[in-house]
Amino acid sequence: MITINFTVNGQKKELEVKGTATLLEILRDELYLTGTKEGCGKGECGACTVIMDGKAVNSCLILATQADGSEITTIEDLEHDGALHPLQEAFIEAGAVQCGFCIPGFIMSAKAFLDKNHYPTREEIKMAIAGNLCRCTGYRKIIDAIQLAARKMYGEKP
Amino acid sequence: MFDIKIYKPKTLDDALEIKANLLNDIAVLAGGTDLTIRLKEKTIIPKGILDISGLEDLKFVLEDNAILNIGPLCTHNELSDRHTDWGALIDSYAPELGEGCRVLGSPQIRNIATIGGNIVNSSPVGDTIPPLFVLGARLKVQSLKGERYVDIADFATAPGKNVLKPTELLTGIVFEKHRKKDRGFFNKIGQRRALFIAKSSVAFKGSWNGDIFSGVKIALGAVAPTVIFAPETAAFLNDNKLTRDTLDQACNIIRTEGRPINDLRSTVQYRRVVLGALLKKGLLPFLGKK
Amino acid sequence: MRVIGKGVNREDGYEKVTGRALFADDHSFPGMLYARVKRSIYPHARILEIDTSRAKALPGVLAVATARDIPGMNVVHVVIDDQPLLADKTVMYVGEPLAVVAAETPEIAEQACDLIDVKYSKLPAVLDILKARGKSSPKIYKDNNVFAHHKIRKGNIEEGFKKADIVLEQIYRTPYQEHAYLEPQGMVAVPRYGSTMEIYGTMQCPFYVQQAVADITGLDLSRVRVVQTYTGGAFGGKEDVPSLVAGQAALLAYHTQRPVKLIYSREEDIISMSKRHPAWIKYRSGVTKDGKLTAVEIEFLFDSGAYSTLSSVVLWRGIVHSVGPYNVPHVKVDAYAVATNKVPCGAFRGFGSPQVIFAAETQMNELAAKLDMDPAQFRSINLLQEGDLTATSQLLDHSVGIGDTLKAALGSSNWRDKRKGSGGTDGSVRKGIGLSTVFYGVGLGAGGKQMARAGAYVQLLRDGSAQFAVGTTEMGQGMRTVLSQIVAEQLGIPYKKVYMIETDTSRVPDSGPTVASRATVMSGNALIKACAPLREILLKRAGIILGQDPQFLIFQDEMIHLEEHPEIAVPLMKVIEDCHHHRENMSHEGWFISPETSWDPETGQGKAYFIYSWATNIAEVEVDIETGQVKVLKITAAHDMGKAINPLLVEGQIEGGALQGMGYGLMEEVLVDEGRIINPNFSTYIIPTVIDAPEFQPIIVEKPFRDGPYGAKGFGELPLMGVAPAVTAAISHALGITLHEIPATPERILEAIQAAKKANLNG
Repeated sequence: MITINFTVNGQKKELEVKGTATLLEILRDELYLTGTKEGCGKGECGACTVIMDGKAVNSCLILATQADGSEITTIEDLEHDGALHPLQEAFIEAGAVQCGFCIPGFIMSAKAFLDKNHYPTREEIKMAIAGNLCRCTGYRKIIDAIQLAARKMYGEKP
Repeated sequence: MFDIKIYKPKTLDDALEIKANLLNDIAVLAGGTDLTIRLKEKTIIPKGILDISGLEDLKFVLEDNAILNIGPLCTHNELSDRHTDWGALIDSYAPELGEGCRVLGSPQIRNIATIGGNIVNSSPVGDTIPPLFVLGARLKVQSLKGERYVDIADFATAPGKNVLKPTELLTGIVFEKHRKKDRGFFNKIGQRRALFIAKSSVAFKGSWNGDIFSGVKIALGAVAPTVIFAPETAAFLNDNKLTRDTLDQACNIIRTEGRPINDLRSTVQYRRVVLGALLKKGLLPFLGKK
Repeated sequence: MRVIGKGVNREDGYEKVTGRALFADDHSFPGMLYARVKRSIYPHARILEIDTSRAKALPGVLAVATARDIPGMNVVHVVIDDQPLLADKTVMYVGEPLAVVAAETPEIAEQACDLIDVKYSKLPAVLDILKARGKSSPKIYKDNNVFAHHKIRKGNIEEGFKKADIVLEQIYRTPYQEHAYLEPQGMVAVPRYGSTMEIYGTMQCPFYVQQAVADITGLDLSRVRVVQTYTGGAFGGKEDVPSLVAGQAALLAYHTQRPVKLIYSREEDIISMSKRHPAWIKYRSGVTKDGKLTAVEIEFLFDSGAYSTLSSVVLWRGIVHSVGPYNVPHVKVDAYAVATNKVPCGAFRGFGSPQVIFAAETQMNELAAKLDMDPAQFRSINLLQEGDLTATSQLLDHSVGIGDTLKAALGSSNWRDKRKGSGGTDGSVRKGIGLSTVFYGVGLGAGGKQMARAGAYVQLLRDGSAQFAVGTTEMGQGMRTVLSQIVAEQLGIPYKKVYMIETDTSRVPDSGPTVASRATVMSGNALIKACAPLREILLKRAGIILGQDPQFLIFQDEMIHLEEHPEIAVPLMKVIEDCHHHRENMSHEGWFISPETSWDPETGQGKAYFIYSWATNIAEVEVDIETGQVKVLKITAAHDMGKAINPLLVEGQIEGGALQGMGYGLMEEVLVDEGRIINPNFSTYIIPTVIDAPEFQPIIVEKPFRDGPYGAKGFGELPLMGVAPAVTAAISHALGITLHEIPATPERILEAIQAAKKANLNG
């Protein structure tokens, strides 16, 4: 067992977990943050994507020891005081959601990306979500949603 | 999963000491994107994990005159994002390596996986390895007893196997920067256009004088138990005028190098054929270009 | 109409973008245990012994169950009862369940599985469908390894070929396709009240799960309640097989009397759950020199795997769709579902039709080439129209939109110009464009007639909101939203005031499975029936309030008013309050039975389905002749679904289905070696990423169905079905080659280029 200290959605946490526990297991089983999903367990589908120290990562591939000292943001931290994050609004409005299982992962990849790139092209958006699989939508409306969110957040390119 | 002891050294010396004491029973965690999967699949069940992921000592890109020295814990994203200092350096002085880092795995994997991990995994499909072959990289390897340098081409011995001793850690990746006339590329091909493992890959480096390449080096991925050089193709192109004809001939030669196998990703025949296509794709822009 | 035909936001969008939606694995119950499954490592073997003693002795293990511990029947009922929940005497495929374990943690359960010792005696396995029917093959099902044989006999086939000027015969092969829903299979079984069982999980068909759990536990159906959780994609892959998962969890919950959660890993899911049937198809078509089809003769085999499961009905849909949406006077089809020692195949979007459509459409494209005719023109000559008879001699009396979809897709894609400009000399890249025209029989059809009914329940509450329940399920396709729109429209209340209760077997009678693109038509009609008495009560009360005859009143803008005099009006809210005040019954049920279908199994003639949806797909590609890599640039897909109740969702269905069809045509392939699946994860089973996705041009065509809700027909499966042959036709157009096997991987394309070169040299 190891003890880890880290910040999850703005709250400091200290936990004792198994040495082989993954960040995904810690989030879901210890902290009950079940918005982050496991689709494959091998870093191939992106459903488990969270933001660690500003970067999108596959939480299923991160061991507890790596999360120690880090700052984690999950899908649960995006809605504040009943107001959805622009990405969440845009995913609904653009019709980018179908079964919804992959969606938290897509939104977290998109958030890490838009936080750094405010005026992305469609090609840049595609590259940013190339590690997230969706089997329902054909992706077009997901790209639309991220583009719409960028405009909601940052307006047109000056 | 089972429980396991975690060793989290604060310095490189501490890390080397733990390695010296625990030898084979310990698995090294750099980025962990492969290690975690192996733990889950129980293909390895080590007694402990040496977590070096936080060792800032091994995270650097240093420029020393004609030499670049890369810390093994640099992530693929750090080495390929042109908007950062490191990424810009690699893009200017080792663009084939930048490309290898850019096309490996997914954005999430590139944020965590390290170049050192890619090298030590010693897979024939590791995307940074063919570029390091053509760059003539030397690997700095350290133990408590001292350090030694290993040529990248001598490092891997079989899939997943290499010459690293149980007491040693990879601590640096050193190669000459591109000179002004040096050109290089890395091309790979798979079953889809993103998030894929190569069926075949080709890295190339040479000095271009307007119609002739000299100092040509070519390395191939996924067509042998380790990454290999393509010496005959390199020799043919070296100091030979690049024309449509010589390019076609080079593509035919490269198809005979390597010892590909049939597996679930592709066939012998296809892997050979596309080696030529990947070389051609990289060299075509030079035709008729002064 | 206020809500119908509008692209309103998804009803479940908020829950899904916030991570609040609870999928199977997100559910927990006090005292819950974790289950794992012990599986066969051989494709065919006699079980000599299953020794569970070491597993049972492991601390933290609460139960280990084998076939002998099943209190009810060891059967998972689908069509023929040949499939056990746990193998007893023989294992029939790699991955077949042998035993289940419940433990305090998933790790202990897994460790316990490793401690179960199974002794086998290997038996010869049947692996190749072409050999399976032969005399020398080992027998694993009856005396011929055939689960089902269906046929069509229309006209006189010899006569038909005599009239043909050109006859084309080809062999086609299509692969396994894995659903790759992002949420793996999972169930939680919760014993309650001493003698009942509740099941929560990811599924399409709660009533199938209810039956399976009742059979296995021996409990009456009345004591088994199944609640569907948010379901992360299904595509047919959660039709029958969730019964296995639920049965395994329920068996352990029965023995431990504690909640048991069973979530499959991705590998376990791919190895043991259903797939699209691989097919071998021999297709022979006759055509006159002016382009009229005279005869079609088809023989095809589906690789069904070890148990019959849904194969017989999958095969039946296959034969009905095998001739395509064409007017063919003479037809002979023989189709066989063949048993092999491999994972049982089952339902997958299209349900036996994409295989034969690949063959039928490729055949059409090659016939057009032989006739030196544009493939679109060749189709217009042969497409079914109103008044025509299908291959099963069903009269098409209305809602035949195929011609309109063809016209719309040709125009939108600029087909004529692009068709001329094939090839290209830009380096190694060649361009091409290809098309397919397809139809889809909506609902279960004559093959599943007994289940073609559905129930609904609607309650209008005193605050003006309505809740409803149906027996069909939301799996991502948008049923919740579409049905909420229908209820809002019917009751005149805002869409946002309508809420669908999660699908639960205790709320409505058995409404059959959520398959066959049937939910909109079946549950939509049942809801309209349930709303009818509510509308009547509202109008009656409004009539009393306004002092008017209710028959002249209408609903509009949350008011009820006199049709001729909108100023004589009362707010709907006031009427609802009045209804409650006067103790009116504000909750009602609806029951819908599908229009009649019929079938003669000897001739394969009859009214196979009550209505058909129609589509034209046009694919544009670039092919690199040096690498064989294909880039699909654009897919134009025009669909007639009768009425698009929500056009935004319709577009989503078209685009998502088209990408699945593209994956089927280009890259997806489950690889099997000696009965063992060797690519059971997402790094080796390759589905398209965002980078592989083309541009989409979805086009909506509306030819109303007279018995559909607001004219709607079902169409959820149709977007996938014809895309693979459109893509391979585009590749063929680009390169001047022919492709008779999918996926058209770069390896196969380079081989085809080589073969064409050789043929040219020799010819």
